[in-house]
Amino acid sequence: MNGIRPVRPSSDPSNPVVVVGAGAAGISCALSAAEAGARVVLLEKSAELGGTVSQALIHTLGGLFDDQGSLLNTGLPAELAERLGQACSYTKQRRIGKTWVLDVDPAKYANVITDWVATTPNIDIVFHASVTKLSIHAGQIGQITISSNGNFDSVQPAAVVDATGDANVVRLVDAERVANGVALGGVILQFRGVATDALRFPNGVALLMDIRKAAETHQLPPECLTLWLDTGVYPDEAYAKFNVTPEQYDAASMQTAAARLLAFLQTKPAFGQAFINAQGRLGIRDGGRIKGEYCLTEADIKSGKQFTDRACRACWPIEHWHPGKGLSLEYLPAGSTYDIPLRSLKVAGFTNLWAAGKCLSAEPRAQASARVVGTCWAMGEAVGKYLGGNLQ
Amino acid sequence: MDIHDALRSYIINEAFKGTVPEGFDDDYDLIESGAMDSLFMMNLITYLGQQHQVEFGMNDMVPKNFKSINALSEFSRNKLASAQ
Repeated sequence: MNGIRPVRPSSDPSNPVVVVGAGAAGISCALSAAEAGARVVLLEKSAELGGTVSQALIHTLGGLFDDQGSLLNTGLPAELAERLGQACSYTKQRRIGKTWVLDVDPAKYANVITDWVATTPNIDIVFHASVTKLSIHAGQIGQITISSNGNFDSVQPAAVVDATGDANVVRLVDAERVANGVALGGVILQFRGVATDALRFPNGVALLMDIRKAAETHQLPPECLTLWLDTGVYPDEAYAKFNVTPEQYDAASMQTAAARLLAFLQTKPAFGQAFINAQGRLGIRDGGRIKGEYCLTEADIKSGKQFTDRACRACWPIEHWHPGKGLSLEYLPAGSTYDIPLRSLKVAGFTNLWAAGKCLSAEPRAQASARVVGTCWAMGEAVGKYLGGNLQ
Repeated sequence: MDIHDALRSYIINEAFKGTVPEGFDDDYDLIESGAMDSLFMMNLITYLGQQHQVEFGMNDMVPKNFKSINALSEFSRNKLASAQ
């Protein structure tokens, strides 16, 4: 990865902001903290940047726009949309129901953010990294131990930001400060070789009904009962999303289900030449939420609540993938937006422990609205900007 | 309840949570307004099948049948008439 320097945590006299997780919230947090002048150490458990978008193949970025299609937040989310548009001519804003999304190629997204981080000074990245130990004194994280490829290093952080999506750092501090997740996860297949407009509304609904009927009559495996389909970014592209209980996820049976789905689809004229181009890893919608200084509630988001310590604005519908009841989608009132306060991103009882992204402090149905990519970018930026500004 | 009234009630309650937008009537464009998204359309098809025995074929999944309450009513009535 050109431009990314090896981490030298102990060689710099200033204490860094340590951001754990290089997904949407982690990347934006690292960028904004660095742009504000902080030294940043970005820890990523895998070998690449991008998190859920690039690894679970999210091709529709929600949370960037309001219900009129205007940008919700300026700053890094807006710059992200601009950079993605410049990187790929197929990037486009699209209306789905009463919402707007940005259709992107997940691979292009990974390229864009990798270049962006590489050209931003003051960010050191450690891949294959995890936090193994934290020392705490009087509500302050004093030192953290990082493991990477069998090596251990210690860092004295100015602040730690848990952007893992699963609140893994906060769990390590105190598992009691994390509420466990209550949402289905998703496994996404990327198809190519699909006829143009095969899933254009309402064609996709017709095919979806056909698939569900086939699953009900056991022509297709039960995983297809809650399958979802969507158009792709490229004219010959389509996506299928399986919805699974994370604890029961089995990669082998998912492979089988994917193969059977492809065979079924190939009997349809529009999918006769289709093939699976990529399969994403399990995407977690709610891996656990921190207990912050403020817990964002469902009532807050439905009433369009505003806060004096606003981190960002959001308005995505309550898209709750309930483990037992399946998907429910509840739109917020027309024209309504709500604030996410900084306090819901700060772990209660700690002076320098934060969270950004999916693991914010929120009720499950509030998180089901706030967890989308554009909002995660905005949350991460707010925390990074706050920390960068306050460390100067 | 007549299928037109049933559809009207279902759409107002499920798509608009009981509060309809300004200018709403039986010709209100459900697709253009975004109310008829894929999920709502699937739920509506399931509702019509289970509660009113209106069965949709693959060729019935076209925008003109879902455009408004009046369009849905007309489609449903024709379906029920042809099934008798």
